This record gives sequence, C-alpha cells and structure tokens, in this order.
Amino acid sequence: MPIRIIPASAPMTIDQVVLGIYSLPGIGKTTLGFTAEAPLLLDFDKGAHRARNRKDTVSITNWDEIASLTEDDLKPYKTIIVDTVGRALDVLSADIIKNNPKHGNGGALSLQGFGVLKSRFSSWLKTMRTYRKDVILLAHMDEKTEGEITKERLDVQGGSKAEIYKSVDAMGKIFIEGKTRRLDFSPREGSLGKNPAQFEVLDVPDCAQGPLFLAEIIRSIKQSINQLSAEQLAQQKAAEEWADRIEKLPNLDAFNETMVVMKNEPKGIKKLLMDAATNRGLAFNTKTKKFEEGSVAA
Amino acid sequence: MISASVSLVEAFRWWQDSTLDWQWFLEKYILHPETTPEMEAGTALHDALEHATEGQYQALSARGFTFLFAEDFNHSLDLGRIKECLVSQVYGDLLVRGRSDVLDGNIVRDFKLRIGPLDADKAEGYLDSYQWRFYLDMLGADRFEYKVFEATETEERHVYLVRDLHTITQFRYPELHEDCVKLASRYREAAVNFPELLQEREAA
Repeated sequence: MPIRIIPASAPMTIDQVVLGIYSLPGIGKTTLGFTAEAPLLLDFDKGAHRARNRKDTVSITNWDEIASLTEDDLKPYKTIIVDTVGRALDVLSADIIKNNPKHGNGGALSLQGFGVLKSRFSSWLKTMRTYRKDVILLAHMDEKTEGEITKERLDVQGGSKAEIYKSVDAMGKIFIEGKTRRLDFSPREGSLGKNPAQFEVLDVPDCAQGPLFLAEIIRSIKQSINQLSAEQLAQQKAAEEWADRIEKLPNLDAFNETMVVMKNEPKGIKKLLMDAATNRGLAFNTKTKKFEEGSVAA
Repeated sequence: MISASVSLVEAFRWWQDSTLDWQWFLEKYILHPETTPEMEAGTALHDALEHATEGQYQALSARGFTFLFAEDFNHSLDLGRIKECLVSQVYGDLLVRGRSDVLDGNIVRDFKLRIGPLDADKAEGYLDSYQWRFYLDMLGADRFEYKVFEATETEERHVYLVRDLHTITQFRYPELHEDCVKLASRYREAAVNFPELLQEREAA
C-alpha cells in the first residue's frame, strides 16, 4: 500500500487511555491499580493476593485465557489491569512458540516471533479500546548503570518494550520518599515518563483514603489530552486563516504591515509569512526588521 | 554569544551519560563528523517529505535516493502546513538553535529513518532525548511526535524499502523549561573550557 500524505487532520478526542505504571517490586503497583474505576486485574504475576484492596482478579497462566475473554465477560469492568506486562508478554511469547515452532529459538522468540508478539500485543490493546476499556500496564522496574547514571527502565523483554512505549498515552513511576509513596509522570534524567496532564509529583494516598485515586488520575489524563486536541484544532484554524490572508497580500508594504500585526503570533505563523515573502522574491533585512525587494546582503 | 544546535547539545548530553571519552566526542561531532550512508538517506527522506504534497505515493525520491513503500505499509502522514521551521532561543548565555520538521498547531513532528526494526534501546533513546524537550520549549508546543520510518536496504544502491511507520509521543511537563536551561548551562560551561565546541559545523 502507498503512503498517504493527508491535509492537516482534525485532532480526535479520546475516550480510553493506556496507562503505564512502573516501580521496583513491592512498592504497591497492584494496590494502586485497584483504585482505578471498576477494575479487573489480569494476574500474570500471581501477586494480587498481596494487595490490601483486592477487587476482581483473574489468575492467568496461558494466553488462551486472555484470548477467550469476550466483550460480554468484560462488560462489568471499565479498567483492565495487566499485572505485570512483562510477565504477560512472556506468556504471550510461550503461546506464539507453541503455535508455531518456527517462531521460537531455544525457548526464546526468533526475530520473526518478535514480529508476531508485537502485532498480537498491539492488536489486543486495540481490542480493549474497541471494548471501551482503559488499560493499565503495570511493570517492574529494571535498573541499569551506564556511565555516570543509573537508568530506570521497564523490566520487559527487549523487542516488545518499544511497543509499550508507543502504546502508552501516559507513563509514571511509583517510588518511596521518606514514608510517602509518590507517583511521578514526568520524565527525569535516567527515568522514563509521559505526562500529558502535566501533573506535579503526586502523593499516593492510602487505598482506604483514596479508593478511586487512579480513577481520578485517568480522568484528568483524558481531559488533558482532549483539551490539547481542542487547542490543536484552534491553532490549525488560526494557521489556515493566516495562510489565506498572507496569500492575498498585494505588495511589499502589505508584507511589512503584516509583519507588525503578527508580532505576538507563534513562531510557526511567522514562518508562513517568511516563506511567502521568499516565494515572492522578498528578503528580510534583519537590521531594519523589514522586508525588501530582492536579496539582502548578509 | 555562544551558540549551538539542538543536535549538538543533545549529543553532548548523551555523551555525558556514556562512558566514552572527550576525544571520542570531539572527533565524532566536531573535528571529523562523518556522514554515514544512513544519515544521507535520512536527509533525503526529510527532503522528500518536505516537498511532498497531498496524495498517495508508492515511492518518494530525493537527492538520488528512493524510498519504496512495502505492500503491507498502511499509514497516513499529516505533514501540517508549517515545515522546516527555524527556531532559536537564548538559555542563560547560550543560544540554542534548531529546525523543526513539522509544526502543526501545538504538535511538533520529527521524521527519523531507521534501518532495521525499532528496538527498545532506540525507543528509549527518543524518550530520553532533549531534542523533543528543546523543540517543545522553543516553539511553545505541547506534544512531540517522533515519526520513525522503519526501512531495509534493497540490493539496488540508494533504494530503501519502507516497511513500517512508528509514532513515539512525548508531552510538555512542568519542569521542561528548567531542564532545558540546566542542560544548556552544562553545555556552555563545557564550551568555555573546551573552545573546540565552538567549531560546530552548520548542517547542510
């Protein structure tokens, strides 16, 4: 199929998100997960019993159990928690090798097998979106030292990690500071994050005090992403209007007048004027801050 | 005032986190920067996309390179209206300058050509990078999208088969500007002590 180059597309609003949460083991990822709205936990790690606020949980040992979950089965739930995504991908890998030995290589996935893993995992996430479920991917944290710094990464088998980074709309890390559990969505030197809601570092309340803490976080993330989409639309319209206006500028004076008018516009909009001027054979004199006919000596 | 490109400041950050020595950095980025065939192909892809107009393409060509799209390639690309936007901003005593591929409202898009699959290290490299941080900060945008074209070489010279297009997204966060200021300050300090850094060559 060819690549399709399309005109500025209208930004879409979202109803579901994929959220990534990672931490060292035993910090409280599962407990945090259960504070999402109407959660169902897919327990790949067999550790859900340790959560103090345990809600509906399915213990998973092979991928068939996931594949057999129907939309009806999931009807009572709004959030699907994968605990942990690293173990889930191990289980999916085993299923891929079981179904086609060509995809395995000494118990691990072959290159071709990794391709299948990526495609099946992303297609499962898409299915959850069509079922209108938010998905939380919980992951253990892995630390690797490179040069001067220690990098905190997801403890997930190599090839599939890129799929997780692509899939998640937001990603945060839980850590302990003093006696407080904290959740940080911002990327830091050495640690990963995606913070569309621009959260400051959040204190995680005890699950008894904040039984819907993660539900609120997810609601804010959706609101922020949709707000960005609304602003995107407004800015696209403004760019279109400026482009039309610039196209109709009759002469050099009009370009210079417009330059003054758009003084406070974003840099991108000013670029439209610069490009149009160049196309009309006008040059911008950086000393006089005005357009002139022909080229301007540097 | 000392100035540096976003690319060099990001390379400096990456180098600081690595175990490689200073001479290696100077050779690679300042004294004898090499243009690899992959970099040439990347520049050509940028060029092809910059000049592409609305429509469907089985192949794109520029600078003597051709990019064929695989049969199962199934992606759309919104190029936006504002392409190749030159941008610069002063951070303390350092002027940081760059050129964004696409500015579409509050989204900045950057095209990458990747020969081979997008692996975890590369994806983490994009997430860690200060390239997206500086562009969001300098352009006042909120969202950054790496558009990574995954390609393989064909038997024909300068002809690549594009198999997939990956999108890795990042967002503005509260300390974004302060982080850019801190890195710019580290770079400037190095440039004062090692004037070789001032010899950066302008990208073609």
